[in-house]
Amino acid sequence: MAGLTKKTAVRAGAAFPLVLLGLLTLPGCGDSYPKDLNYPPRTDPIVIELPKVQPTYLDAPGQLAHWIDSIPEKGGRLIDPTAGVEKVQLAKVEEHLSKSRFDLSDEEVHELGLASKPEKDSAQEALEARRDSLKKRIETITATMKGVAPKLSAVLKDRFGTPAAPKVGVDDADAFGLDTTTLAEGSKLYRRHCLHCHGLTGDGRGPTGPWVNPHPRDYRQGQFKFTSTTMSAGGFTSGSRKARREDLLRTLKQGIEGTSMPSFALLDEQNELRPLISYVIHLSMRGQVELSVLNDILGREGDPDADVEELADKKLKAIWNAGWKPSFSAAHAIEVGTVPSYTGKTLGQLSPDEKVQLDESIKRGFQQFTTGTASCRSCHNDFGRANDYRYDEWGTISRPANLTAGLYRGGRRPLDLYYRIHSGINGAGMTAFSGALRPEDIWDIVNFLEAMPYKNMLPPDVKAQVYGKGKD
Amino acid sequence: MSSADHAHIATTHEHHELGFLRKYIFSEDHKIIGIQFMFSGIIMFFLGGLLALGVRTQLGWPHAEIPLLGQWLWPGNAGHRMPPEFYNMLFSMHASVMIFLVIIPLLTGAFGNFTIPLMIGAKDMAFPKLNMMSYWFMWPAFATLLASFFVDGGAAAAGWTSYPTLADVEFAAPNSGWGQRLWLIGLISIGVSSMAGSVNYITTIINMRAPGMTLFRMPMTIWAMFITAILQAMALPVLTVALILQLLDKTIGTCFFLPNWAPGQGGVSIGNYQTPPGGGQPLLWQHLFWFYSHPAVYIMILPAMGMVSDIIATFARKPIFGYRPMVYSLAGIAGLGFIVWGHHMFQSGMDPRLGTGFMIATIMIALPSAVKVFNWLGTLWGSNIHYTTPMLNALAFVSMFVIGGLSGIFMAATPVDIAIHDTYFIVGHLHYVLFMSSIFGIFAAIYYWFPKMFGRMMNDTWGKVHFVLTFLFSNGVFFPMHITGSRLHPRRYFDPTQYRFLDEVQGLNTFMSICAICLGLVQLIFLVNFAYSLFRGPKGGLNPWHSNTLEWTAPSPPPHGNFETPPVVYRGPYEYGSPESDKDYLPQTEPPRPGAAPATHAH
Amino acid sequence: MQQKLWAVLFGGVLAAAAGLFVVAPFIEGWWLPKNLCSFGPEVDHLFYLILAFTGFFYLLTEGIMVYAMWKYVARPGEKSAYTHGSHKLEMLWTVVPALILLFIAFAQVSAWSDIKYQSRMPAPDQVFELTARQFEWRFRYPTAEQNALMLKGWEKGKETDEAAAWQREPHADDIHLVNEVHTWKGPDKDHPTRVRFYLKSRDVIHSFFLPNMRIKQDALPGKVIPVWFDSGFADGNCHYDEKANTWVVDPDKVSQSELACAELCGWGHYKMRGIVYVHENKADYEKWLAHASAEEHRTKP
Repeated sequence: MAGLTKKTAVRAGAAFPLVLLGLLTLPGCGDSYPKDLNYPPRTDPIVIELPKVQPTYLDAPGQLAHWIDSIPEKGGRLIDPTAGVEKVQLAKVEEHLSKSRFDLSDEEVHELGLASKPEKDSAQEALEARRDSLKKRIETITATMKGVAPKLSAVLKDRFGTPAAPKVGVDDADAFGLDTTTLAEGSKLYRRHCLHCHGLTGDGRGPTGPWVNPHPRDYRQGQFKFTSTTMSAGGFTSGSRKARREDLLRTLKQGIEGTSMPSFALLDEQNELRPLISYVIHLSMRGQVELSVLNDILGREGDPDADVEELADKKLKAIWNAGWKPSFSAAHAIEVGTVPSYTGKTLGQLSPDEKVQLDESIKRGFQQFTTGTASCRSCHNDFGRANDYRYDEWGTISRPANLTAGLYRGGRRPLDLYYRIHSGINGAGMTAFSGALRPEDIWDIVNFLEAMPYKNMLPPDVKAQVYGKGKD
Repeated sequence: MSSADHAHIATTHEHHELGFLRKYIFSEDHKIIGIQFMFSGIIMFFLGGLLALGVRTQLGWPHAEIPLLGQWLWPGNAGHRMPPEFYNMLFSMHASVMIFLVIIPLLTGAFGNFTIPLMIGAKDMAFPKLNMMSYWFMWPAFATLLASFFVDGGAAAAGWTSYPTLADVEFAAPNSGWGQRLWLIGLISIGVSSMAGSVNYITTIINMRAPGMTLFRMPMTIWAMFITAILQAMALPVLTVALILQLLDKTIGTCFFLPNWAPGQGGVSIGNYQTPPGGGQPLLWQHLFWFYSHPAVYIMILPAMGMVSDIIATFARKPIFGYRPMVYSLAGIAGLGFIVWGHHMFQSGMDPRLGTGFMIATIMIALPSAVKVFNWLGTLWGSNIHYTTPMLNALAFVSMFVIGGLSGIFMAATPVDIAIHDTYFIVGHLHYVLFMSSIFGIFAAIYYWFPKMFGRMMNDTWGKVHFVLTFLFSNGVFFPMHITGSRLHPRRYFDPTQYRFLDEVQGLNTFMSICAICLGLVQLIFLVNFAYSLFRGPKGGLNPWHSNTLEWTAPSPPPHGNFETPPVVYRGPYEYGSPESDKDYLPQTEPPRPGAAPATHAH
Repeated sequence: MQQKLWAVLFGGVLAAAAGLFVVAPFIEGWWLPKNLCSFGPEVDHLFYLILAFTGFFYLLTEGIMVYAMWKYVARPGEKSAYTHGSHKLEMLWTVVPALILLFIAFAQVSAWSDIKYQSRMPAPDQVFELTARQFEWRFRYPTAEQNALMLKGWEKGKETDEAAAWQREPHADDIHLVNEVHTWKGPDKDHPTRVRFYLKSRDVIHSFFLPNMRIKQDALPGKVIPVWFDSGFADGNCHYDEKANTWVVDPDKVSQSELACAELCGWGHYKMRGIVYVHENKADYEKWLAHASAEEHRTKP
């Protein structure tokens, strides 16, 4: 190191403050998304049909994508814009063919996507036919997507902007708090608080998303579980029920107990929660337009040659005019009928008369729950203590609530329970009872549910049946 | 051991020319093994440092995208933004790497191995094969810990303390699956390595000292290594047990650390997932873990104390002040170190009455540390200080250890700990002990023994540039932590800007982050100096520092078998400035002048 | 002479460090958060006590060191003082620090036991239950009547059976809240509202931390840990907002009213923020409680 004299050392030392100054400016980008960042196109499969057989185990942490991909093997159906599912099946079919393994088990039949189990002698032909159809399908999807994907990306970017500059491409968006200023603010906050679970596109597949169970909501279906509108449910294709801003606000404020969704009640309602809600609506609309266009193009009755832009606008209009807009309106809020005087009171507030009435109501609710029209027991097995897993419409797992635990994901107010019974939980197995039950019946069930976690609040005979021997 | 034996072994070695593989890779020579530990330690030091820079970048600019890396690591749906579990992984792995792959292997592995036989005048370790094994058991740990970054969910992220139930339940965090399992496996392997090393050090020091090398003629380095090895040998089995129990919990579904969530209730529930009602105890882990890991804190500082004592005496050209008190205080720290583990658990839900006992023991452990500091100062007083690079680093060790030691008293005091437990105060404290003290000690030792290890000197000017910048920037990184700590800034926060009471200290966070990036950059100076000097540094000769201890009588670098003639020791290691000699030093091997009274000093 | 610059470098850095501790208390937001709890002064006092001792020894030891570095720069040709130590000095610097350390240690005992020993916890004015989970604080408050019932006959260090039962078995009228601690300001400084709560965890270890109350306690799954604090020096910090029909914390008091998690609990560790609402008086608190209860029993949109 002869050349490295003291002078060089001093000079290097002097240069250092300059490097330091340079570093100061390095991570200088602000707290919003980079301007050149676009929403990535959807590449994960759309769940079209759920397996008939309910799942028996939870998906392992981090295995969300694998779980969804395995739905066809279990008898469900997917639309995969990258044809990934088909490619895996094709590889398996070819393996069977090359190894001449024609003695197929039921499981393998599902795995290979065969319609029915072929006889041993006709298996080869069936597999060959399957191979050809898969090849054709992959070709179709690839060819179609090659044309569609750029057009779809362009039209989505035009109607919905970018993460840094989001917008909603309908005329009256501003009137509903979906103006670009609010959305831009919402996007910043979303990036800070929600992104790592719910993902850039709101697909519930942010880096953390696959690792928590229940998985974060995938907004792109256009469905939210806990809502209070009377709009019709029915999945992402025909359903027009959306969340009201109040519903989303409540979920944000309360969090969802029993899941990884924490409470954001301490954020400012006006300046933080409101923009967040707008942005979530924006993501949901964008995702649903994308999804329904893909579904219309790649689906079984789909038209690969449809005009993407026209189709997207049609979908957007439908989602907005028949979905979000009416859902926002108070005219479609659930009405609760006549609330019994003894409902919504603490035990301390009940008069002796009301106490008797409440007990009667609880008994009626119990009847409804077990043997009545509602027959909640058919799903909420042993009052929810012995519940099996079920698929929800996202293809992930839900489980009917354990109603003895006093833990309510959609909120514990009598009103919340009323909403849940009245209109069900969207996308999950919980169906709406507004048609089958009168408001007073619903209130009876609500009263029963409110009392159920508290043994001593139940009338003795009900208590014996809920918490009888061996059930305590 | 007789000198005939030495001669015999020396001749056998002369006849054995070993191939490259046996000589440098699967070597049984303690010096090569030490150097192997040193190289892997330095590489890991840079990895650990990069992880720390990730942490600091996030803390300094919590809402910004990580420059360049952001797009690459979190493309597409992740929106270029670091997810919080990644941040947790960064600091967890930073600590794990720095503690288990850098500081402990560098101090005990590298310098323990290199110095022990040389400084006691032995030809090698007592068990050379075991010694080789101790190094090669580090490799499964390197492999598992590095591989764990690439498994699904990422490397361990439950802190280096890996408290159950967070670390124990796979559903509790993305990283509590394979990342955590690999972490556990890696640590078990490091345990084997350390245990092999400890057994070797203890045996070597007891059995293989050169003639005349009585216990109280041993240099402080050897005393420190000796006591550290005993500490490690006694505490490690407990950690290994704990690691295995957690691994069992995570693989075959035992419930050692998995409780019922409340008395009489089911297991803990995380979303849809519920653990079986295990009846285990999360606190049990903390007790087992800290029973090792508190002594481990001393394992990470005692060897540095020993080495720094030797370096200070050498460059102050003055006998170490209070040799015996120095030894006793080392032993005192080690002894008390076994009964203070509970001070990590004051707020853990452990019976607070236990806390009182642990507190008194913990505060008293400051005493031997204080005695050491005073003796170092006593050594400096009236000395003849030569400001070489190793000396500057050693002095930095002393001054920084004072800060780390004093700030520790705050946490030891239980009521004060209520406020500052798990805040940046503790982060500042532990970095003053582990970075500012241990790492400066390690730098001092590297600069000091480099000529003996490789026969060449490191560049002194660039060494000083590296020292000054490191000294400045490390204080810039870690000292303000005491201030944010006094503000009660909780540690391990991904985004402190969520809290209004931390608004004013965010500026300090940014300042610390800038210093941290600079601190990281200036380590490159060291790296270049090290690599360049390895091949081009000037020859150092036998004893470039005019030091007394035995290793400086061996050739540089010493051959297999170390000494050409087996050394005989006549006096203690610190006879600097002795009137007995004309020079200002008097090597341990120099026979006494006829007629002169042999110098034996206790004080 | 050039060599003496090393002493200047060390001295400069060490003095700057000391200086930072001198100026920090005078900079807004750089020092201990404002204390609001009646045992807070004890904690702070002990902090300052230790700061004084450590500060003194810091200046002493670093001062000696920097001085030695300045004075004893190598003088060519000279030998250093040849000494192996001094028994007297060793005794001095063993015994004196030992006495000081023992003093510091025993000075802590009473504050610690007052804050944390269950047998020393004062009879409370308010009881609630707090269950931590990833990543929020779930509170369960008793009604005013239930609260009164539980407090009847509560003696220092001995909870009532009523309270123990309530802790085990929830009551139908309990009020459930997320991330909000509610208490009230005592009538005067000598009668602060003493809060006693049962700390539980549903999943992993969390830590309940109120910076302004100087209280921190880990929540352990599998254990019910009693914790107490009070709002002795707190002013009321919230008011009823008619428009929003809810209670809000005064904006300038938010930074003094935060609840944080202090034990790593997973990816959302930093998200576990809560707020302490201190109502003006018990009546206000009960007004809020009734409001919260009505909200929880809401039946109409």
